[in-house]
Amino acid sequence: MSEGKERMSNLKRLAPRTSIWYATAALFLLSWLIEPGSVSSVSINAMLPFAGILAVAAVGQTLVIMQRGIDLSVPGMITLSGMALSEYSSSHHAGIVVSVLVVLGLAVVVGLINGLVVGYLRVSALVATLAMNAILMGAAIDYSGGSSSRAPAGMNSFSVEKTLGLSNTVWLALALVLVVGVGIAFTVWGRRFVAVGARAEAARAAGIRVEAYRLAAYIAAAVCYAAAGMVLAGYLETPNITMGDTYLLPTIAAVVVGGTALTGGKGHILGTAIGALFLTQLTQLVLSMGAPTSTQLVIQAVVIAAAAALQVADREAILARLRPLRVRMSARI
Amino acid sequence: MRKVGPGEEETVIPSERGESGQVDPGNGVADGPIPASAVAAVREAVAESESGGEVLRLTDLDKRYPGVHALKGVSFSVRRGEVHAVVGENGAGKSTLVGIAAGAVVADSGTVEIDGATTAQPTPDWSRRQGLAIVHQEPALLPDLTVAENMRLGVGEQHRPHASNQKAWAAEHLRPWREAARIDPGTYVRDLRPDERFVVEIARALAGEPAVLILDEPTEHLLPEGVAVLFAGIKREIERGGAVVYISHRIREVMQVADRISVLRDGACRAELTASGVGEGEIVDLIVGRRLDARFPAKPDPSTFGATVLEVGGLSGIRFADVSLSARAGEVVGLAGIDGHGQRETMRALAGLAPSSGEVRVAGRKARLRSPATASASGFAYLPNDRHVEGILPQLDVRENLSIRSLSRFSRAGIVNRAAERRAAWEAIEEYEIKTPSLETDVEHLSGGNQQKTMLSRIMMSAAPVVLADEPTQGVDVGARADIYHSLRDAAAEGACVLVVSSDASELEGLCDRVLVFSGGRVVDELSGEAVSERNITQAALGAGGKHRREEGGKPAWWNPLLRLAQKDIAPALVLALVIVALGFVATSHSAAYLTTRNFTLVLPLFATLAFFAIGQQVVMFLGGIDLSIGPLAGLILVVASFRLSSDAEIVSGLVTILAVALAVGAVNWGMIVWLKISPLIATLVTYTGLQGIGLLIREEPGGSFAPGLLEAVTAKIDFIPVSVFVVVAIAVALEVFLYRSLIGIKLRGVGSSPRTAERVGVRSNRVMLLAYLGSACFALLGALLLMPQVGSGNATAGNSYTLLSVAAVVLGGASIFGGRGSFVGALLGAALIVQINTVVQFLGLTAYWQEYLLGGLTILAAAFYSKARAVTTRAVASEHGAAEA
Repeated sequence: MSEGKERMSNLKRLAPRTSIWYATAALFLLSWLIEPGSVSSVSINAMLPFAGILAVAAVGQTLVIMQRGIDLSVPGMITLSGMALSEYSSSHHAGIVVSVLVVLGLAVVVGLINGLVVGYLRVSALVATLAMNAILMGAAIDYSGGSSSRAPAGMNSFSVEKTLGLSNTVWLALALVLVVGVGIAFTVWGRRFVAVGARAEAARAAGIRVEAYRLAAYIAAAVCYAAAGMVLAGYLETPNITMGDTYLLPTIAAVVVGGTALTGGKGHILGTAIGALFLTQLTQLVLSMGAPTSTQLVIQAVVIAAAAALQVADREAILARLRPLRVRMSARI
Repeated sequence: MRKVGPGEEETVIPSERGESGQVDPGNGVADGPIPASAVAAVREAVAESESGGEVLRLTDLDKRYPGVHALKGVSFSVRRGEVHAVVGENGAGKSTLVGIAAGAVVADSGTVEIDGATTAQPTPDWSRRQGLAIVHQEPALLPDLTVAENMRLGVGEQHRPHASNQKAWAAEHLRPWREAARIDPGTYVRDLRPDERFVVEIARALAGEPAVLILDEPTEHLLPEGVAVLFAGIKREIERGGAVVYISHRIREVMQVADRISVLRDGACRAELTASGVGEGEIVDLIVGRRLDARFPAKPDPSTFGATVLEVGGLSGIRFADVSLSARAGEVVGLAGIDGHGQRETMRALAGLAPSSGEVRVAGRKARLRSPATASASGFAYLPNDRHVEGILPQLDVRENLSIRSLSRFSRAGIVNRAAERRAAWEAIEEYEIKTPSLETDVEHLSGGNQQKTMLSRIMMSAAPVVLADEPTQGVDVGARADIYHSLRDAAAEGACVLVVSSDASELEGLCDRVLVFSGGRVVDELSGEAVSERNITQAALGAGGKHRREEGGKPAWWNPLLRLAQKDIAPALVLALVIVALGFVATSHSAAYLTTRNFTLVLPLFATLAFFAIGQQVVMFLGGIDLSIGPLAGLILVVASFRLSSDAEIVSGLVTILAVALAVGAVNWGMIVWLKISPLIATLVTYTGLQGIGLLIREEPGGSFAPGLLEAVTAKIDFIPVSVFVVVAIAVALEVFLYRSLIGIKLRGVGSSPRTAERVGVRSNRVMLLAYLGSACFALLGALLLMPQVGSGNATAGNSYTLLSVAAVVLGGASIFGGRGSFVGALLGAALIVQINTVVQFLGLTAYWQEYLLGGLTILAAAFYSKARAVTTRAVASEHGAAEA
């Protein structure tokens, strides 16, 4: 393998990780060119809270996908936590901190169940989290009685207000990205987490407790969705039973366009957050151009397909290098 | 995989041949350059006369893998009515040689001629059509198909029996084997023991009456009775005029069955002998040869060894029993034997990767081998045999790969100190001479030898007292080999004890202070000092004969019959039917309104609708796929129909239009999955979103109406039962029959069961997948037709909920999301159960959220139960296998 070729393939591998930055910059430039209104400060300020909320939820999805899973319980968890926060604080006259802690505790339990069902009962992640989503939706209706109380005032002001000119939801997303990103890159735990996702068999042979890390991914993910759900409830003031519905696909889309492979391993937490910004601005642009809401669905579909196809092409390039070895292995068998 | 259709193969006649001076028996083509035209002429003449008997001829085959020259210009041929054996050690090139002939491995140069036709690059399909059949060590059988189905699918078209006849046909071909294995052709292959699978594989190959039959280590998986049947089968094959290539390392068997014997060593043909004229010892000498390629470090004097580090007493597990050994600090101990005789299994048990029982102590302290994590904590560090699976961490760089076992050394309070880590990684790279451009290079970009050194350095950095090295030099070039030997010796010198498993006896001779030879799962010999020689090791391993015994499997648990029942693909349907009826009783006892025609008139159309979606979902799930797009597709169809199918005059043209829409969506899904290689989940998530968007763009708010004549037709009833219910039940039953009786049904289950194996037996999985995704779209269309009267207008989101409901229905019906198994009747009943739950919840006066609880809870329970049941029985079968082979 010549050095030039090696450099080429290194570039290729890097491409999906950095391309989200270029794509986002290009999107904002494009927005400014064709619809200056979509990058006005009013417009940006209206868009950022949603980008922040999506980013928080999508970071959770990233953790699960890094472990070669998929989490379809996002809508249920977002809805349930939003509804539960409002209902609990109003019916128990509880303070905002206690209410938030209760909801986060609930999320830990949900994540634990997801993780146990996937890791120990060996149900595929798709089926387990799909079923969990139904249960969470039921629980949301059950607990709230279908109609919700108002979100606690403290949560409302947190979601709506700004600090240093930036929406609090964006600060929350940044803090989460920092904590998770640094945790993965610099801690022993994070290293092992990535190793398990990259190749569970090899991690196991190296003495890592694979199951524990998988379990942790589902728990952390549920906590992220709960945080997103509570902030969204604060933003909406009166959370409703469909508030989480539009979040399933965008979380997965943010992960894919952010450069994390659906085949697991190394994740790009910051990439996911930028991906969330990208998708939210794309929606904003489409809407401000006067297109019907449904256009964004078509555009989202095209974006995901393109990102996924690019990722696959990238992976194929690597596999092509390894193919002779694989053939050999199968020939030996 | 290379795409070469039949008839497109390039026919290549080499312009120069025979220059390498390799043994090229059987014809008189002279050495040296000859003009191409002359060669062609000679070749034709040869084909007609001299080599009239040669059915398979491999000429000057050359093959390099990274780091290994696997075949060095080998030529080989076999005549009609002849058994030509190929013997050699592991890694001598035997499997590569026949892999090229069978089209499984692509040669760098050389040609393959089968039955008169020549090509440089045979494909599996071409080889098969030419009449070559290969029996691999790993049978190419599809686990979720029955024995008879596997045999029918895998045998050539001209020998394929009719579906109604397949069991009798299979039974007839299995009859000669009844002494060795009584196999019911109706059994699923996943329930067979390995020796039984092997019998099926050989019986299938013989049933095809191949021109050339290649047997790759055929007796390795057979019981002694099976070997006798095999030899009888070979004899019949020869008498019929077939040719047999027999690969084995069991010299006695080879001498018994072969006419000619070729000896391969290090990728080259060392000799070609007539079986009657040679002795066993002569062949052993040829196999072993003398190797000049690796320089080994000097062995220290045994008196310099330190205290005993490792003590193993009476360790038993799958494929090994009562193994006792001990090793001292500074000592390198080899575990030798023929593959599968317990040496590797013992090492894996010590690494915590396989269950075992017995007493193991490291430096006097009791070791816990329950999991790799505890074994690692007890002081074992394992260098895996196959670094591509259990070794390298792909996507991670060299530094991360090196430090993964020793992170705690470079961290404080859980935070990794990168500077210390980098320093240690650089030291390792220098000490073990890993050639890498930087610490941040992806480990997959290193050469095989350097990857292996990285793995070894990872072990060394963990400073474990016991190093377990499983094939430490596999796939590594000569230079790196010497480095690895020195590293292992250095680790011992620093106070560790090193255990080495290798199938290369010369490597053990050069490296080890002591060698334990395994056979049949036990230590049969121990060599030390001067006695550690390749010759002695090979003799001890081969001489012991490696008897296969059948041992008692585990005691059958009381719930085994239950699990066996749960395994049947139709079993979930029975359970669902019971639950549905039970729920019906509960509802009846609470409300008189349940058991009325009025209720059923309302509920049955809902059932028929969901059932169509569930059948569509089941079709793709047989392939291990999923189709999330069916819900929004139904919505889009409603929208399109509200424009193009709104009056009776448009019925025909409108139906054609919506059929075109459905087929187009199916084709797009398939295209994304097959051509763009996007996973089915994401691909259909894309269409899920896109179709919804398109539907809403065409008609934002629900509106329009459908042709009254069509609505009348789809709501037609016989008494109070909708015709659609009869239709959907009839379709489900018909598909169920089709699934087990038609070749396409068998292929569908086969591709889902194991796509790679299906390709190996000649199934074109892409076509099967196209059919499946078109099918699921068409069933979504039928579901949409039934939705029309229920929704009443073009509503783009009306179908969305059916995506998730259809997945739940097939999972309840027992489908495996990984493909291969499931049942249309099960999907039908899964749909019925979901509708029943929703109905009964209403009749019981429960609030609506109970529907969600019950649906979600039951889906998880069902999936967990099926998964557990299948895992347990698979494990039971696996441990029976282990016992049989030990």
